[in-house]
Amino acid sequence: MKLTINRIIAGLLVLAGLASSGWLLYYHHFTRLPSEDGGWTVSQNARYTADRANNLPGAFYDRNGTLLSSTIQVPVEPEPEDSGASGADTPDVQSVADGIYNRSSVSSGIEPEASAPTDGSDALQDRSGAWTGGFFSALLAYIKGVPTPSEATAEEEPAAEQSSPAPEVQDGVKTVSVRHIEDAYDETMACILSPSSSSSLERRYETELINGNFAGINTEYQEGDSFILTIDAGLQNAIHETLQSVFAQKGLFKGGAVLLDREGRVLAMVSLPAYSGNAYFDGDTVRQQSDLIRDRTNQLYWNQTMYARNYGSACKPITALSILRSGIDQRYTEVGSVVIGGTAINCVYGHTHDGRQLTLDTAMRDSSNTYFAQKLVEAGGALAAETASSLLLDEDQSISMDFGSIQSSYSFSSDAELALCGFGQGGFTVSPLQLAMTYLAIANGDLYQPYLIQAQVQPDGTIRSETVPTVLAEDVITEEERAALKGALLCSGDNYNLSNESSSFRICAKSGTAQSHITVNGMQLATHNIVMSSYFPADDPQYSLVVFACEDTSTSHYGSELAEAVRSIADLVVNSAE
Amino acid sequence: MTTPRKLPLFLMLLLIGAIPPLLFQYQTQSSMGSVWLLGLFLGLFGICLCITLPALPAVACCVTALLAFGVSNSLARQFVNCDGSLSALDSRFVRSFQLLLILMIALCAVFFLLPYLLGHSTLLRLFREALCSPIFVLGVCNGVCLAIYLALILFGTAAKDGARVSLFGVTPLELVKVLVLFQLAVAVPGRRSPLYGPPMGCLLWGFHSLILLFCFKEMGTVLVLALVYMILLFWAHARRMAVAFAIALALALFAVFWVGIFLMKYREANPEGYQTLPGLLQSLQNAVASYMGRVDVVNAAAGGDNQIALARNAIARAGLFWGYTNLGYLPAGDTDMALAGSIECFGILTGVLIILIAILLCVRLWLAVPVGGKRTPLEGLQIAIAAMFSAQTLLMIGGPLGLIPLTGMTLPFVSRGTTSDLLFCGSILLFALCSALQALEHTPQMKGVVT
Repeated sequence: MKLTINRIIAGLLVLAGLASSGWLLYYHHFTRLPSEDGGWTVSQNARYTADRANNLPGAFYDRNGTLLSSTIQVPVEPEPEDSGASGADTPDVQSVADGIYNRSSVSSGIEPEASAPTDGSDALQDRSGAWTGGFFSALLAYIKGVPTPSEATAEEEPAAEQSSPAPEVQDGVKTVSVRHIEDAYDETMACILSPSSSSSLERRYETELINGNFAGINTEYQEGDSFILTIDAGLQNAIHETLQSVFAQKGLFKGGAVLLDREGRVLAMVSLPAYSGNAYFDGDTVRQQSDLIRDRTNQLYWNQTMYARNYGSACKPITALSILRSGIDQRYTEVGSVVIGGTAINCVYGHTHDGRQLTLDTAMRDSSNTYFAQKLVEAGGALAAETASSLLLDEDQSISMDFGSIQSSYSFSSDAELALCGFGQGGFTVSPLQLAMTYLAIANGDLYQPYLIQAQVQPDGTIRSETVPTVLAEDVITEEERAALKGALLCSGDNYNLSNESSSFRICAKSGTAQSHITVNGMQLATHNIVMSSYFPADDPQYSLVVFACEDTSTSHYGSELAEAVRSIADLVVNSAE
Repeated sequence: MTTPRKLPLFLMLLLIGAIPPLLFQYQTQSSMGSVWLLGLFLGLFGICLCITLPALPAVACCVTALLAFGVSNSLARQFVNCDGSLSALDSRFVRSFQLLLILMIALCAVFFLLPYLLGHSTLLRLFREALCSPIFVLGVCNGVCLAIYLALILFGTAAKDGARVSLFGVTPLELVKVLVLFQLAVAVPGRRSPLYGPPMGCLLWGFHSLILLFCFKEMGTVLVLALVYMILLFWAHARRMAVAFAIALALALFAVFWVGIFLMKYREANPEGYQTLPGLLQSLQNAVASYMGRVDVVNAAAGGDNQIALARNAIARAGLFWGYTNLGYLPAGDTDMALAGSIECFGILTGVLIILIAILLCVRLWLAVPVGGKRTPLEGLQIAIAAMFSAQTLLMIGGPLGLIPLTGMTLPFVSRGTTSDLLFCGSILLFALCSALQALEHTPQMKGVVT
């Protein structure tokens, strides 16, 4: 038979077809792994497929030493042909994996919280010997000033060992590494850690975490650094649950909360709807996420806290600052509606009183739009822009975080637009995170850089680097201005019943409701963005809390409805600190 | 070539092939088991026919089997919900399904009618004139291509990556691909006109590739055309140029891959700067990043840049003999990811079956080319069509399996797409026409009519 070009190519095609079929059978069936949902998965990428049994990459811990996210080793054995979509046929593999996943509590019917480490000693055990007790004890002492794990009682140690057995990698058994988000952690935060997020802490610090590259270009994997976050896992979860409950009651869909301490540490950062990194491989979850993304505005849900929107009257304290600095008369005879530069400004709060005399305090309490619009125009655009700029709220000054950056804008080109900025509409957009920073500055005078990474720790347990609080703008608000704003915000907070008789501390707060719109399938829908910004305790401000819900298409909710959530979270935070 | 005496047998086989999809259409509330049985039955049916029948009817059977798999997958993905329950069938898909049935029947019918049609000398003369005329090949074909480019740029609908590839619901770039193939096949042998020859082929390939690449981000089509051109050069005995082109192509692919790697790094180092890069570079980065195994769940959920990772997971979820009941996990599971989607629906062995049938289709096409050393345009056209099917099949088998970077094309006849199915069927018909013309050339009464 003559060897012509067509016969050669046909022969090559047959070889290619057989090779592809063989590859398909072998790689996708006989080497697949049990996934966490009881189904199957394959090795995802070079990072997962790399056989790194002896190299334990870095992990994430919260500020109390609770393990949040780790890379685990999963042993893999060839599966029998008849093992279907259930892990029940492979008890050995699954049981080993369960142990390493720290999911033994789930399979034995114990609530996941029971297995959540509560102090540094558990986290120490979870790392399977990768840490030294001395290091972690020192770190805990450094962060919290609490007794070290070595001082913990002898009864606690065996329990910790039992809940998190060390991975046993036997000779001849292939292992793969999988990033696992611990049950102890809020699912929302998992997205900040998960490599599946397009921007995440893990992506940002992947070189440090595995001392190499996840893309598989550098295959020389070595043990990497670990990170200790400023996040408090307990608070994060509690706030998450509170918000879920409030949102479910009120029919809200999208929103979140940010909690900062007085030096800019992010103690909690919650976004709803929540999103689970571990559920990535679950088909239904991905489908639902996909549908949500398509149906809504294609925003990344876990990123809500960093996305700038109009948040309405919660921005009035910034306007109040301009009014204070201008030295103009703060008294005002209220009108229900006023036209500025051809634009009608209305008091939409529902209880306008034409002819009533307002001061800054009462205007803040009653959230008078006309007051802040007219007074800001009177104070002048230059002063308003200067004030916004001093708080880094103009769009030229984005604030970089550990991942991504926070955007905001304060722009106007006419008196009408300036008036809209006066009550947080128009060209004044801000992210909840930056709103929390601003309220901290209003409370304490200094504008702090928010941050999530407390410390980076080397494999041998020594601290490689540590973040110190950074003041972005010192004394940006004077003591007199702070006192005036505190009075106004206390009036406002009391108006929402945030400081009742049973409270041990008072809360300075301001709500906001911004009218906005989103585009869905080419149609514009009217929405409300609602927020409650606060700092507390009013007498000795330690925390700033912003709770918000956005893109509410029912347009039937207002910022004041979040007061209850703010009060309960504030109580939780203060009690937790005590 | 089929002869009239085989007509009853072939009609019977055609009926057997068409009945299961017809039944399936009226069983929209059936269980996944019948979907799986449909695919399995037709796959075995196709393989049996391929082995027993002559080349061209075997090709038709392969096409029928692949179409059946594709339609079954598409239907299953449409009416099997995430939770495994069934929903009503979208009328759009019923129409699409009916269209494909008509296509299958028409394709097979034409195979039988072809010998009678070819007996009419006017048709032969017209086709011969077309092949011999540089005005037609260079003028009309390029004119149509340019008109399509212009129409797409002016009136096209942008896809997710911003490229305007859809025009009033159809994707005319599939037609461009066939038209360029036609030109290459006629031009590369260099016998019909002084204008023709390998350099003209290179010029045509380069011209269209530049437009396809920079205006429409069609990296896959450019690659397929390059492979076709390279094979045509080998066939036309332009060996030095073929080797040089092959080396240049390999180097270019290597360089493009590393540019993609560099862009991955650049994206991480400077996300803001990356967003300002041209769309083509971003598409390249996406393809390479996806191949390198980057996982981006948010983009993936929206059908984004980690399709390979999702495809491989979808495949893993399927059993050896059965599919995964909760479909909808895999974006583009019935178009770009048709192979992975079919495996998710019907199981891994069905995937193996699809691969083998698709490869068999290409093999039978290649073996049906009577390479006689004359290097006629008819032969060139057959080689070009066989090369196009082979290249596209290999790319779309290797892509979802993670063996090569994904190029975002369709797996012939398995992927859902009316335009691509029509064009693939048209290509097969063109192939059959060339084959018939070559066979008739050897008959005493037709000798000299076709050269």
